[in-house]
Amino acid sequence: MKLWSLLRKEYLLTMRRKKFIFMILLLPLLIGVVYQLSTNLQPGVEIKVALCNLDEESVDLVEALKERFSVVEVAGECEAQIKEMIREKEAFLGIIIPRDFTRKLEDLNKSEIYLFYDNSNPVLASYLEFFFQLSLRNYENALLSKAGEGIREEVTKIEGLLEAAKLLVGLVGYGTELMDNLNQIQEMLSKIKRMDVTFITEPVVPVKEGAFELKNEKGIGAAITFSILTLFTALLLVSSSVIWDRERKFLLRLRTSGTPNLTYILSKTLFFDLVLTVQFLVIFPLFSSFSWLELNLVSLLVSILVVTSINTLLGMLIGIFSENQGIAILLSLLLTLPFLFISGIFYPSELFPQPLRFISDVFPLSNEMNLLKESMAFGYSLQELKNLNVNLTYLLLFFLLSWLGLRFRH
Amino acid sequence: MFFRKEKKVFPLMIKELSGGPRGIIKNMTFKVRKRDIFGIVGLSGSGKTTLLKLILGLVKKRSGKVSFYGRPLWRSKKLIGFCPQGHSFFEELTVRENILLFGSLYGAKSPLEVGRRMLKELEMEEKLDEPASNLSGGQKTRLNVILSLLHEPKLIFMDEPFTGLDYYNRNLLWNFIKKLRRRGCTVILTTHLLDEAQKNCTKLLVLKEGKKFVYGNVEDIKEKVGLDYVYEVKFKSLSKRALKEIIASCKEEGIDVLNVQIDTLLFGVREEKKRAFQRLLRCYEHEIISSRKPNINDLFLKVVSA
Repeated sequence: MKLWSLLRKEYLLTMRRKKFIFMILLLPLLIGVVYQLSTNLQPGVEIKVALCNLDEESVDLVEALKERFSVVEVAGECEAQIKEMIREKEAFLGIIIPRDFTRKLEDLNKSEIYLFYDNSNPVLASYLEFFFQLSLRNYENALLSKAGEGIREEVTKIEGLLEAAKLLVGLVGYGTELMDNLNQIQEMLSKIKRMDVTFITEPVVPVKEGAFELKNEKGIGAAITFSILTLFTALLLVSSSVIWDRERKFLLRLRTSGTPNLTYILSKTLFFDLVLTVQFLVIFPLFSSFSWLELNLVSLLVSILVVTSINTLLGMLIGIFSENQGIAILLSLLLTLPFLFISGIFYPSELFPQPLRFISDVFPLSNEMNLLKESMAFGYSLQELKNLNVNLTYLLLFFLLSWLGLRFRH
Repeated sequence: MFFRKEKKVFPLMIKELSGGPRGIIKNMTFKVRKRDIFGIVGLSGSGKTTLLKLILGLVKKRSGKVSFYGRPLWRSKKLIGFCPQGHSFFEELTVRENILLFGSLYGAKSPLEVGRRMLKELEMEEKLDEPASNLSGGQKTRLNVILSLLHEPKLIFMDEPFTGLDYYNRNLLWNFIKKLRRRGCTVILTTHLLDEAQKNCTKLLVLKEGKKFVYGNVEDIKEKVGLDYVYEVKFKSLSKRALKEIIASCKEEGIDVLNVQIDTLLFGVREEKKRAFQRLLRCYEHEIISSRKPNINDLFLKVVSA
């Protein structure tokens, strides 16, 4: 009965705080959309490039660049102009094609091209370089095909000459040794003719195949997004709600009314589990496909429940040990931001140095993410969930700490 | 047999209770009679709220015993209520929703019925479906009291229930508290409204720096404090030196200087010191503004100045 009253209180208070509902619904949409956009490498705006072409013959290269970038052509004092444009944010990237660029390539020699970039923004610089390489790929392939074509033409001519020479040797009758040599040369030439010239730039082509059989490929993204989302939401919402309860002296009332701390903790956990599950349903359409139907619903539900409960209890601990809302927000950020970086979202945690990897492994977020991947992407059954036990341990630990915190601090 | 009878007369017994932050409450012993309106008074920081919390087990005690009908108080939670200082309810909820929530927490059998009756007694029955945020300050204070009483406890602790109330509302609440008493409830409250406490409380406990200074009804306190008359005297051209002389002489003669306001002094005098006091006054040019029997404020000043 008391549990029901506490759940009802949480529900009514949440419904009366309109900004809460707004945050609960908007945050998953925002994080989901941002995640989708950030994993799609296509830029969302036109990339302006300042181009100074000193080589009249490099028409194909200019065309290739124009296909991907919005090109602004410059002339005259190119380098100074381009640098100024980048500093003034009029262009993201500057390119100078030198005078003898095409001639060198036609002579089958390496040719330099000059790139100017914003070195105060390394992330942008590396992405622009990536896009530049991408735009160059078709041009390079065309260049190589053309070179291959030229080689084949030359080889055909040599083969003609060789045929004539063989005929002559046969008529004169100089012996078999010379004929054998000519045959060997002919064989080598036909090998050169058959050669794929792209072999020169890309001799090994890796063919990738995942070791895991993913029942739902979109589940990986959903697991990452949902674990970050619940952590942020739970830490901020739950810690605030505990602090409000304390400020309204509700915790004092609970103690004098003989309501067990366990009932209070349970009501918060259950209610915020529900709120966070609603958030899951909000992001679900962003990652939905029919492959969700192949997942094990029981393990999906259990993993969502375990992860949301862990984060709710963590939020509760922050609320219990923070003197006020400001400290609670600082603590929440302290727990989320650094660990977001070491959870393996931005850089694989497997490649971290040992101490950092240890922290990453110990922090709940990485383990939560792994558990959600197992249920959302791999479609494991309850028995197959390898990360369930470690997460259950967190759940018990935080439950115990919350109980002790309430008992001794309030 | 004797102890059983004592438990019935004094349901709440506090024995050598010490504790609180920095051990502020020291060696507190007193009994509260059934149907008492027991007022705890004292200066700010004297430990009134801490004493309530210590009794209720909300702060850790160092030593001592609190028993209610012979059992530890925490075992009788259903029989007790606590009304914290300020507004300890949810302003986002309506009065009805708050009543249902707190009633359920305290295990009240019919919270809405009791709540309605109390709202009527405190002249706010029409506010049942209003959001608590729409109530005036006085109404919020009254609601705060009601929410502690929904389970109709036998013993209610109220921490500064009159804070922020005007005279009319204070009067309303005192009458309500008296009604509770008539229904068999024992009330323990802290307040700094001495006049009203003197008028309405059946027993008073005056705290000073966490210690029991005096305890009993007003007559007991008067006797223990030892004041028979209070004189308010205005001196003409009172220098600092003269003031020091007067205070020193009073101390020598056993006369209490209760208050000093520039050139006007308030003296507390016992019957046997009356002549000595008149002798002292003759030495200075003065005017007696008032002479009267001491009230609770005077006693309190004596306590503070002691």
